[in-house]
Amino acid sequence: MNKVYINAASICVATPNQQDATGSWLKVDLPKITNKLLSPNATRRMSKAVKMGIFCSLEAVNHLDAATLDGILVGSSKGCLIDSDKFLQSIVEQQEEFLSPTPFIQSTHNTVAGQIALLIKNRGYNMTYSQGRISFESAVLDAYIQLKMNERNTLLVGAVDELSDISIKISSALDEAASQYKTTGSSQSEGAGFFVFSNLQDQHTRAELTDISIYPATTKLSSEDQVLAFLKKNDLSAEQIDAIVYGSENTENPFDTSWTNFNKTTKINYQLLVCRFDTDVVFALDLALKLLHHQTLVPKSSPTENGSRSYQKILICNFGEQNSLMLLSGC
Amino acid sequence: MRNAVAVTGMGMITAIGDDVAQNYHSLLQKQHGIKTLQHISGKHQHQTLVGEVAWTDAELIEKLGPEVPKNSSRTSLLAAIAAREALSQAGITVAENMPIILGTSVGGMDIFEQHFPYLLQDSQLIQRRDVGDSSRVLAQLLGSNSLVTSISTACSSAANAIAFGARLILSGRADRVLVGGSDALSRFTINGFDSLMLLSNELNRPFDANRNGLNLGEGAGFLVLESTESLKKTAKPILGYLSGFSNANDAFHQTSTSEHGEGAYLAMKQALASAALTPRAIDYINAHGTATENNDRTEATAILHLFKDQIPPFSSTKAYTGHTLGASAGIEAIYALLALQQQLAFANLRFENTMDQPALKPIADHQPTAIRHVLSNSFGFGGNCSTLIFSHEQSLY
Repeated sequence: MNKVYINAASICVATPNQQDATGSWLKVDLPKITNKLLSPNATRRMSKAVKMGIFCSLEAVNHLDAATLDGILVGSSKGCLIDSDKFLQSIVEQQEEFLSPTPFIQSTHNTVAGQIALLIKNRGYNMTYSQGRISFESAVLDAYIQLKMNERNTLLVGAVDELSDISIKISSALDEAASQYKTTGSSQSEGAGFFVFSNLQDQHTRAELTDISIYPATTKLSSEDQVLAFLKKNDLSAEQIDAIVYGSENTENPFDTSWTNFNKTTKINYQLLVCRFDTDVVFALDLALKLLHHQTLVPKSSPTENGSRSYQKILICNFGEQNSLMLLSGC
Repeated sequence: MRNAVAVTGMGMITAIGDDVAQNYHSLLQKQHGIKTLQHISGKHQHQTLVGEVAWTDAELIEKLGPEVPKNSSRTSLLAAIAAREALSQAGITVAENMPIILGTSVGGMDIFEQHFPYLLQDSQLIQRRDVGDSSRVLAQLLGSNSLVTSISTACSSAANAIAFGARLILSGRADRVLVGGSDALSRFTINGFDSLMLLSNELNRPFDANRNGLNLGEGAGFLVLESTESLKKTAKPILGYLSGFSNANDAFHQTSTSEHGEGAYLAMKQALASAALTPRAIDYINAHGTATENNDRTEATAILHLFKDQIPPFSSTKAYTGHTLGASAGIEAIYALLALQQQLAFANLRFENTMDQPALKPIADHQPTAIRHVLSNSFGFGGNCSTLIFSHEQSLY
């Protein structure tokens, strides 16, 4: 069986240091996209989700010969919220009369993947997953299987979720973002991350994705047993994991004192380092890749860093209604 | 012999029937289900022609039982009805150790839009909009303890869900999966297609020279797929095989297809390659055939390009059900399997006049014929083109 490598990465997110003291919501400040494939007019018409997707995609495929890309997989929990809200609002305000089709056309979840394909003229596999906080991992699982089984060789895999003013207004009435901001200190935000996955190693290879698993949190085994079983399947024990990068839908710490097997493992709660969005696990993957590459964390993000050993095996855990585990190995 | 993907269960609900048997009966009788819209209030009610499932949400909930969560989307209700039938046929009582992959485009928009923009300060109602919420409710109703995810690639969603399920089996990650699609009619999609001027004010006429647009529909279609390896341990009737699947992108335009149907051509060609079949092996094509000017012309062009002078009998069953968007490939997968079982290619209703460029004719009447391999197309917004190939129970042995 082939191995699966991650050969490039690009993310755009908002970080807590960009928050102001009152902000329950924080939009991503996206750099201007300058690319010969894009006219300034073209970017003006794009929604934020498409823009973030295109920005990260173009960066991620920068080193790649476009002809070698076999497809594009995107995960998005909420899809194209801005255009979807816009069309809903026009239906209500204009009472179903004289509607502009543009927001409807751009409202489908697969608009981002479709627009990337259109831009870089990619006629390959084009897939969009949408399943809450495991939307990205669903795309990763599909890509992983295809690369493992040699169905395809190189795939662009990413995720994107955007904020919309209308949805912010609706949700603000519930005060959920505000109360979450109070408990976690983290704003509700948006973001994207795109990665080049391949079964071919090259000079840009950042890591090997050794395995991935997605399973519901309701399974009878405790989460720790599930994690240990996943490691065992990969011939690894808890001690062989150099760091765990984790996030959780819930505010409580999943690595409480009862998780005895991982007492000594370096654990990084990535959600303290990024403003939250449903597919923010792309930030965790990028962080793990950087950790493998630089062998150190940026100083402020090392709450439990043990500092003594090098990083070779990193486990990314995303806990929620369904849990995901991604095992990375240094190359 | 390599591991293969067998179909052991089918379940569906559409405008032409509440289960597979009723759907088959309606097809045989050439009974379509296109009528004026009943259940959604507003400008289109009692005016616009749609393929609507006869039951109201309340009636669907009554069929499903008291465990249905409050304010569940119609998409999830339709899905649960179809999924339960599929599981029952496969002799599965609880969907344990069985990933569920839902293809949907509308998701929970149908329930969300009823309250927008006044969401009653109900966070659950807001959450219902998410595509992933409809699969979550479905999984809950089926007692799932395995991976649950959704694919949302517009009108090809269910085909891609079926293909991903097959991939889980072929990679050894699952012995069996529940896969398919569901989409409810919604004010959002009806107005969307209306704003694009793609809705016909008459009964839709796929592949007819005088076609003038589509009728939207709703429904769900689900399959139980099982690995032939695992079926060696627990033998059960096999309804057919999913022998090939593919997805390609047209990379031409967000909503219309390229002049030569490049994406459609690639999807069909690659699906044949994955099934190790030549075009000549295909005995019937269940076409995407939405009855829009653009789709039918470009799909026919792609069929001509691939099959050349040996065009198999083809038809679009959207003349019966309307275009059920993200559910269509799940529903039409079952029609493809029925064609295999009954050795019958289904009539393309209301076909009268041959298109020009290309001058391809669908089959105007039911055609009994030897069918070993059926090809089913589904194309969607975003240039998404998918093809599935189903093969007869004896074809692999």
